[in-house]
Amino acid sequence: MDGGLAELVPLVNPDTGRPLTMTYCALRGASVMYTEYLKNMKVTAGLTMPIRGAEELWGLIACHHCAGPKFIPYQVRAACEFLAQVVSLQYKAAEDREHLVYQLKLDDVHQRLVAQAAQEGGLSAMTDGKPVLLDGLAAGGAALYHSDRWWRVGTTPTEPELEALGEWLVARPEFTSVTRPLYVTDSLGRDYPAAAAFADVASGLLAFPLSRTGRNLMLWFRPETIHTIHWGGNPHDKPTVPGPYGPRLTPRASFELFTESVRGQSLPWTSIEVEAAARLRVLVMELVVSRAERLADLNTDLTRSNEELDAFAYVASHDLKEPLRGIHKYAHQLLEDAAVADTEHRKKLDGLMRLTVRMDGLLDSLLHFSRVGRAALHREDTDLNEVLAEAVEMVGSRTADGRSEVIVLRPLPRVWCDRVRCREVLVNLLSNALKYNDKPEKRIEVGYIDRNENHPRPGCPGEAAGHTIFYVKDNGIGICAKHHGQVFKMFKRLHGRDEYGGGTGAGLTIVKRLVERHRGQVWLDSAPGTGTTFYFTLPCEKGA
Amino acid sequence: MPAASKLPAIIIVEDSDEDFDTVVQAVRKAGVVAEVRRATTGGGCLDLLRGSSAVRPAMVLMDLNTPGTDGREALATIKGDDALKLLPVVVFSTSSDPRDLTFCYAAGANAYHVKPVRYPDHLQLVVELLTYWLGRVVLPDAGGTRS
Repeated sequence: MDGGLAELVPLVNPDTGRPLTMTYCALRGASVMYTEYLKNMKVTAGLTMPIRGAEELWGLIACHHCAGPKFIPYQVRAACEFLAQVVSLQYKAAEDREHLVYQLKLDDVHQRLVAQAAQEGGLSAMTDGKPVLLDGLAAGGAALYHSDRWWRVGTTPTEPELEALGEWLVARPEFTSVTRPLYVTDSLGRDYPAAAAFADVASGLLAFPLSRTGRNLMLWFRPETIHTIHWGGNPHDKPTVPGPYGPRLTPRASFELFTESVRGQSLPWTSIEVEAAARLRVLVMELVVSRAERLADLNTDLTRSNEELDAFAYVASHDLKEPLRGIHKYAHQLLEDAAVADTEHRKKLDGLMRLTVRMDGLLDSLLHFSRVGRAALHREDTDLNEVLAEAVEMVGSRTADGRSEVIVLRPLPRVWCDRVRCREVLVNLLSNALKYNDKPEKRIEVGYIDRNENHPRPGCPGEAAGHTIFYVKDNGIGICAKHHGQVFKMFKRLHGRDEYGGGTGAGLTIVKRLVERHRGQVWLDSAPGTGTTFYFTLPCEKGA
Repeated sequence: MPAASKLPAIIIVEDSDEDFDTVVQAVRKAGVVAEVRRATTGGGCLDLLRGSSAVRPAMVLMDLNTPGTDGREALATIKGDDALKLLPVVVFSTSSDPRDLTFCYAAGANAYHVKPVRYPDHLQLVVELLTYWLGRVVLPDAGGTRS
């Protein structure tokens, strides 16, 4: 222990410019730190042998002698070294076995995921099935981001946290690597301080991009492990007692174990885990591609069914109407030929003609409804006051009697909408308000409730919350609550065929379709005798 | 120019017998003196306009949805033919589809009317059409297509 030390010459290998490699040096002086450590334990002589794992120094066999110098003959030293090698080999074998078992388990999960994906398809097979993305990998949670949505499983940060993390990840240089884009850490907070907020679920992160461009991601999270490290003393409470080599860091004489918890740290990701994750990434990417293909197929189907619907609507308009016209004509001619006195006969022919006209109206409504659903919207910045004025003019014949009025309490706002379609919404609502009204003074109020206004919003559906609500309120006959759901149904009328001016019963169905085409909602508040208020929203964000 | 062509001709493209009959009655009711030629398809209309004994009508009343070569195609052919394009073609169809309207006017239709389902309305509309196109409208020298 008291043997002197000679300094190595040169310290830096002039050929490589790096410190001299001492790995295979059999006999060498120990570090002064180490010898001081031993001296503190009153050790006078020592023999130390390494136990190596596959990649790193795993442990030491340390022999201490405390009664003066001790010479160990070469044979004994050789035997000791042999023993240490045997232990190293044992350790390596155990380590390999453990790896193999883990690898097999990961392979098994992978195979089952592949089978599951083949059966169910879709990314949800990764997060909703059994097994999931998470199994085998010893992670706390996993998340996939694709097609503007997250698939989450296990314990993960919240979606807003994932959003921010995703933004940060795609800007990382690791992610732009061509050969292997991958970000892996067991201490996310060190690179990404915001991770402190969710350190308990995601201190460890293993992340792959799923596509070269865009923010498609695949993430695994590992919770914070409160590491228990046994120190020879609290390193944060360094003694100021100078050691024999001056006032620098020296080991403590104390052997009291000190447990320090290391925060924001997870178990490290092993190379096996990274490999397994990389293979899962390939699987998910295949799924993404097949999903895109399926979407394309569905789109083709949808286009085809739209075309068929088109053809159907055309049949309704033309091929069904032509015979109808013929029937009307023959009925008309029969009526002309019928004896004036034959009232019974004439009544039947009248009925026949009325029915053909009614059927014509139904066909027109059906055709119009199908066009309303398919024709593209032409949204523009629109002054709703102008649209309302046009709509009032269009229903003008009904307001012309001077006993009906349309009241606008304050000017309506500008809206990003399809002008013509919105006018149709208003025309339908206004004409209904006038039609289903038995008051001598028909009064219609058109107005809006601003999104920020504190105003009662009866019946307002959740989707409409936060939007400006428009309304058309009348003092008409009202609608019984049990019929509120039915008024929007195609061809559904609440009154007799010829009551309240007749009609095909398509108006409100078309209103609903038009409002929904604007991604809005329509609903009503009404009771018999109290009038009816129809509310609707026209979400006006551009691009909505 | 044969003297027999003093009587103006009109070509009615109509596959429905009922609708054709309505037109014939309208001709009578309108009091117009015209030779009514019928084609049941768009292709038949083109046959009447072409060939050695070609008819040079004062107008064509064109149904759109006919068997075979339909009214749309016949309309586009007439309006794309330098020898025929001055001929007034009035579309008379059941369809009120905006796409049909757009197509026909773009192809050069002179007017587009939708057939009403009520017989009296239907008859009245054809009477007005005939009165207008055969009596009120001024056209270039008898259709301007005669050489």
